Amino acid sequence: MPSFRVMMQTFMPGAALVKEQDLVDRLRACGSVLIGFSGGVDSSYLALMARKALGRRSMLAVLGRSPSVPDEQWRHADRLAGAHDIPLRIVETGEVADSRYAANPVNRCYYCKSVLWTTLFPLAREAGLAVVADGSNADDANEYRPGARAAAEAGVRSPLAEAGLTKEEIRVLSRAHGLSTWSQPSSPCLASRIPYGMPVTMERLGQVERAESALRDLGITGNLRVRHHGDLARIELDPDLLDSWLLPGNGERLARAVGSAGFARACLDLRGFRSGSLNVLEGVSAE
Amino acid sequence: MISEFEEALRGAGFPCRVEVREKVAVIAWDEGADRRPAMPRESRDRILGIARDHGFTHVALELTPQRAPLPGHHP
Repeated sequence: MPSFRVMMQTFMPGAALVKEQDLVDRLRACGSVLIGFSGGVDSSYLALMARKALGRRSMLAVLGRSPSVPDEQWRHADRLAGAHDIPLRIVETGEVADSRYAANPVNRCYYCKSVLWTTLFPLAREAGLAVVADGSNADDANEYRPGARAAAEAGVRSPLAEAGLTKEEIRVLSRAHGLSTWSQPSSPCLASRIPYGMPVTMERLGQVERAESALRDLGITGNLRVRHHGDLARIELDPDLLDSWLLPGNGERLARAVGSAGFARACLDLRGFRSGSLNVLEGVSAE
Repeated sequence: MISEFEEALRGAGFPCRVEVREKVAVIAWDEGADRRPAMPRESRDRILGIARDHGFTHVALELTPQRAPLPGHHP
């Protein structure tokens, strides 16, 4: 039976392996690291590589738990860390209580991440960990990400981006390492479903979470977003699902599902899911 | 902008009303969304093209059955 390394070289682009080795070298050069962990594709891969490169005593993954993170997401993160022997700590973050965040300006993510890093740096000092890192990848520089400014101001490192690893490469490498996250859709926080300028409240975050959960219960897989427009929920599904969900009768099923979360009305986006949809709507980023 | 968009949709064979919510054009079939046959890809692309011509980046189909006239509707 071929070794794991041989299998990886057989099925994986060489460039990704070179970058992975660069990542390992960078992590070792850090000596020890605390990782802002969400259980998503990028930070899960980074946490696993840090665990492999540094050992469990020289790294810690920290998950910021808040109402803007779906319960299922942090439970999944907890299970994943356990399955891969990644030391995990869960801390409460209170960004919703920050009026600057709750006002939901276009740079909302800046205030959220400021709260997160302000919480995590003292933890790193207490644990004697030299570096605080996040899971930003090389593709992220092409998107509107005010949260990245908060990370830069706080002195957070982004080893995946530094090694030039793209999202696609991280998925391929994650699969090779047996991470269940390799095919996981991106899962930005629930506040990203609320249009800029509409205050982020516990009630609205809960509505979005319950509506998306009810839609998943209908069997919807892949990318899914419920955008909050007051009493109206706008549903975004992967475009290849639109044909079937626009068949007669299915629209009512969708409407009933989001209705159970307190939305009086429902509509289905005719273009389907697009990352950063509300940024396009506000002209913050291009289509 | 809304009435012109609605007129263009009607002219293209899509009898509907249009409401705008946070810059999203929400369309509702005249005869009720629940009675409208399935909307194939070609029809969606046509509607999205007309929407773009009228300045809308987002278009959604009302799913709530048997809705009364839209409160934010501007004929």
